[in-house]
Amino acid sequence: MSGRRIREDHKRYHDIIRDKVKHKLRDHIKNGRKIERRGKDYVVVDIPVIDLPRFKHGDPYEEGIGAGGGELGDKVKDGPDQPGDGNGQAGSDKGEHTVGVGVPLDMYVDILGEELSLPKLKPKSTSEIIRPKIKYDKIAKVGNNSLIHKKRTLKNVIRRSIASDEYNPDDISNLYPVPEDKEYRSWSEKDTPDVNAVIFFMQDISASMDASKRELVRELCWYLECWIRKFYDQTDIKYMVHDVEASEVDSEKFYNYTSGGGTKISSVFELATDTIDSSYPVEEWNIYCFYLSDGENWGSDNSLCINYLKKLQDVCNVIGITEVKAQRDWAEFVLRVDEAIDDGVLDRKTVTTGTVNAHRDILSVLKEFLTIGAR
Amino acid sequence: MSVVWESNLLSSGVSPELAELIPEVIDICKKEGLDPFDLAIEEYNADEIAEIAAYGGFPVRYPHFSFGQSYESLYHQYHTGQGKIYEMVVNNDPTYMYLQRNNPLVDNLTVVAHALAHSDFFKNNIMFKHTNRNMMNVLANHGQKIRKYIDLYGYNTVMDFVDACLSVDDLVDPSSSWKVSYLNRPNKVQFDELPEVEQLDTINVPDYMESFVNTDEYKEHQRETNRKRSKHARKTFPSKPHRDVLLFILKYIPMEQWKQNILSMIRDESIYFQPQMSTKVMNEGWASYWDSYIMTTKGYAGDAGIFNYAKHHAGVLGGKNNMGNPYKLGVSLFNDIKKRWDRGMHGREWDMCEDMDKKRTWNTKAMKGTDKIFEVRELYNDYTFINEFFTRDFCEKYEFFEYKLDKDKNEYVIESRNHAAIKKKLLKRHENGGRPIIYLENMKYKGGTEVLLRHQFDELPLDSDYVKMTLKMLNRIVDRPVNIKTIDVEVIQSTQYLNSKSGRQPGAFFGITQEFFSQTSDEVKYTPVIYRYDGSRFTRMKDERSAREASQAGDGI
Repeated sequence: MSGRRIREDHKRYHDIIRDKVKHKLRDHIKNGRKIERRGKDYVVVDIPVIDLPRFKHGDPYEEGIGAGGGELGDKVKDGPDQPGDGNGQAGSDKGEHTVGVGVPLDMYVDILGEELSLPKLKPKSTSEIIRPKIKYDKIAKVGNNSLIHKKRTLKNVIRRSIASDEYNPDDISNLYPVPEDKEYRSWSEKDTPDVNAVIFFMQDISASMDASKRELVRELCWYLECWIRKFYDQTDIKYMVHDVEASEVDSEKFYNYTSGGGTKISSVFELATDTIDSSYPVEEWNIYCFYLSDGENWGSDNSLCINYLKKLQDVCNVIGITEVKAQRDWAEFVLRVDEAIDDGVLDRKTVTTGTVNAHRDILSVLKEFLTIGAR
Repeated sequence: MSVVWESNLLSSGVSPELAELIPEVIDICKKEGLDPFDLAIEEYNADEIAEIAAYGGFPVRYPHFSFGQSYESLYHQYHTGQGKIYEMVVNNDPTYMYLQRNNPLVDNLTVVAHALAHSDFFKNNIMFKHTNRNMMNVLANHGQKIRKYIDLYGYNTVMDFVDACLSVDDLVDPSSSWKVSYLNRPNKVQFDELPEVEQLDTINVPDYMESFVNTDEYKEHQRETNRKRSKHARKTFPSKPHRDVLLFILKYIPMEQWKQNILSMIRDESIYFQPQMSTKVMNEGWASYWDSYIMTTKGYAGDAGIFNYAKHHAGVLGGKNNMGNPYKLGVSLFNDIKKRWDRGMHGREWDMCEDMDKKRTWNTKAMKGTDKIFEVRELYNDYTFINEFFTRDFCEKYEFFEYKLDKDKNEYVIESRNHAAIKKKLLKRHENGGRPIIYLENMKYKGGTEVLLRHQFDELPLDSDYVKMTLKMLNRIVDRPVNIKTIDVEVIQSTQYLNSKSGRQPGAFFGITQEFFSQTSDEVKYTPVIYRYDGSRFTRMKDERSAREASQAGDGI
């Protein structure tokens, strides 16, 4: 954002559309539609253009001119939406131009929280690491002019002028502060425990994970990340992928790499356990583990996985196991985990499962996972 | 070589490669006959360009949320890769030209050529003849004044009024700069001063001839006419309908001074922008014609560059049939004119020729094309441009068609490729910039207290929702009831069956399906109406008087 003028006009525009934006976002969340993102810090919603009313022509004939090949009677384009079909909003939307409006991610996440009634995550407060935090809550007699406390200073001026019998309510022109009147804001340091989180995103990248599944994985991870970040000072994210072997990768590779190999889920849990042991001591970190796959696994590997999960549940805040577009004939992993939870082998306060088949499922799975994290 | 751009080149931050090429391009343009203003080149990054574009090239304008809205949309388009701003040029002397820093060299060079042609068009086209060439400063002053009013009267108060002014800012006379102002004419008739002295159009003759030449009958006839006229004048002002509604409002409707000031500023701005609206196709066509001429024939693009240039060109113009795009329509017409006058494909001989083979290879080697396009850029606007050069051949070459909504299928289908009908529609789209023509009919309507506007109806009705909202805005300005006279159109699409009078299924006997005999025909119903807003209530009345007059005239409307 550059000039001052456009900043003001831009802000005014945003003030005008604020309610409309919120309404649209709620709509989006309710219908579970995908939200467009702009860069790291914004999401985009389409808002109808506000155009000033003018005298303009109506179009009762419903005709026009164009150019191109084709015979008489060939289709040019679709007709206007018929009232009564589709999403019910048709008619009012007819021919409306829209602007893509950037909404700060924070605002979106807040609305998401309200709309899904997402619970606030409870960080473990056992952290040993203490970090001082600066808060401006004190008053000092010396300081920088930009920190001057106007109200207190003015009070001092008036008090002094009354005391010296110079005060005249009708003429305030000689009210001015002398250095003794001035008071400044100042800060204090407070020791607060540092709350940090680490998120493990673990994904199966064997060939059965096609583009549509990867897309859903990407969306779910984004939502999880947005919400968890909100509650922690620092959030580390670890991406891990596996086929028969697991490895740690960066986000680019996590979302794009595909391998041709088979599937051995326990490998990635083993890697996660090792990483936690070596780098993320339980007492300092809140640990979130999310596993995403289409649920296919090498049959005899499932019990090994349950063993690792048993170890992990003692250190993690949440373990979420997701199957994406699973084909029931093959996908048994989530069923095994569910059984283990029912049998009490796994703690249902930490471990949970979810199924995503389409974009609209993402938000309910999100809620499921995060509700556990709040208990 | 002009002084302005030379010193400006140093300060504009233009890259050295570009700075080296700009003088060459300017030289070539001038040699080819372009006659632009001096240039003031500015180079900015994408966000700054988006800001300037949001202000329509005048970053000094008054504050208004709509600029913020344009900015949001431009910013969004740029950052999601949906659109890119290449250039902004404004009609000003010197012509300000904004380049975007991160665009490739060949893009920016194209923009320079493009902008030079725009500047040439501003300077030489007849529509721009009387525009203010110092608008950057004027608009800055306007912005300053409106900011001052905001400080004095509060943001919302002032902005509500600015909104109202903006929504009626097209109620001006686009040709006003050619006319001696109606109000400044020496023998103007004042609002309440009507001639009391009897004025009869008589011939001066000796007394004894008086009764022969200026007969009583003749005098009585004139008195009668005068009586009618003065009665009309007592009830009607202005005596003839007038296009410049805002001028009359400014002059004759009392309002606070700051409001008057804002309204007159917005009227000035609107008049300044009128010529750009009525020459959009030509102006963009002209600029595109020249940038492609210079980039493709003068070797600036180079081998890699010509690819970039083609990409740029295609991005701006779209495909062959993208005729909704004014750039594309304009440049195609200019190319067509150039070809026709180069090869002598015009005039009586060409029109009379019916031999298609001969026509195909027609070439008189006249080579008058360049002269002709320069003449066209000087003397035409969009309406006359299309009227004269949108020929049957052009229409066929670019495969124009008319389409219409097929209600049964709910899709738009190609209806015809009739040149005359297409041209008529195309012209309608460019008449008065595609906006309705509205006159001030009467400021003494209903006993002198109301304002009556009249929409000059030409097949297309007004959008009634917008009429409602706009009348409210107008009411905010004049603070009295406002009316507009127009004609509503209702189209009843019906399927008629031939032979249906007999009540029998036609063709059933022959086993022919019904559709074979059916044909659709639209019945169009016209209703003269007056929309009225009195400050609290909105009404729509049938205009009985106009309806009666129309039926007396006996030819519908």
